[in-house]
Amino acid sequence: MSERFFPDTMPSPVADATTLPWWQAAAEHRLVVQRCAACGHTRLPPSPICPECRSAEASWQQVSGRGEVYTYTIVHRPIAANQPLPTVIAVIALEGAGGVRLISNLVGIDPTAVRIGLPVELVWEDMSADLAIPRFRPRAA
Amino acid sequence: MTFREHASRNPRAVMGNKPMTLADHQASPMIADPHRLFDCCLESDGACALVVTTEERARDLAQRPIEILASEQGTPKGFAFGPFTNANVADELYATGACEELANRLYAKAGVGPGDVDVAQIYDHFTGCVLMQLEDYGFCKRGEGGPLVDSGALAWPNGSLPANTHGGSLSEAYIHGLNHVVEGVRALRGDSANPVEGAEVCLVTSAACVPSSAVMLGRR
Repeated sequence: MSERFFPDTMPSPVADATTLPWWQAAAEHRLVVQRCAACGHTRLPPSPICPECRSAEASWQQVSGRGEVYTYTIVHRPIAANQPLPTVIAVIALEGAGGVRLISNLVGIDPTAVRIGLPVELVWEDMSADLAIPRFRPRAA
Repeated sequence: MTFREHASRNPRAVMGNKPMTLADHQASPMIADPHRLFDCCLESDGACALVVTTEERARDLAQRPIEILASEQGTPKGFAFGPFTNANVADELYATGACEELANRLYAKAGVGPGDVDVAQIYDHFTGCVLMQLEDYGFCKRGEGGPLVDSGALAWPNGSLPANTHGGSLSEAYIHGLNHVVEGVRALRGDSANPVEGAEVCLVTSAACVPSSAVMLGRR
């Protein structure tokens, strides 16, 4: 099992037909973005139809998980028992992902040290045998 | 603080008898930085209703009718419902309420501009979203929403744009903004708790930073 940052009490995501492949890739520690087969536009969260060209054909493109903090907030109220506070929620601009951003948590950082533009890298957190959640931590620029 | 002060004269306001100073606000717990408890709207049980009918039928009703000058809904590309969707909107929309397109369509349809609005009911789920809407709806330039509010512009009776004359979702009740429409009607009928003298045009907005809508009300 991976390093843990959040307790089991955190609410679990519920996958549907559209998002299931994304969560399956995550369970294998592969961070993917959805790429339109017709126009090449990349997108997250997964959706049935490309917002640029309306094609329903798409594939999954793996990305490195490197990126930088686009924006963030520091949350001081828990949504689950035993949640470590404060919790940093950040929008991560993913490198090599066609401009796609992902909302996640920053871990391994003093919340007062978070800045826009902070270079980060992916760290997987295995919440259970079949659920892994991508979090991010600072990396050397 | 401005909306809370308005609520003090509104007998329906949940927070009507709870005045708030800047110190009270600053002492309230941080929820999600920079929003403190008193930057977040109330959670309320309540109801309100509107009667929408033709001008012809409205003429025979006991209450003075208020005209819907225009209504609009919509969202720029990239916005959608759901917790993970808005992270991918265009850079130039990120620090806005994403209502500027909608606002421009509303003004064009109603045949009025920001300078014609006498009173406004602005959807106040969070205080920050009020500032962004003031910019989106053209009451000030980008980034000047804070200074505009600080100048007292939204305060009844002397501000240039008295807003949320019922106290809003922050201080009257959180009825998902329908109470803002009701207050818009009251503001133009003259039976608001904070009546704006001679008001003829009232803007009522819905939530910012998500797919939204707005209505322009008028009194003939």
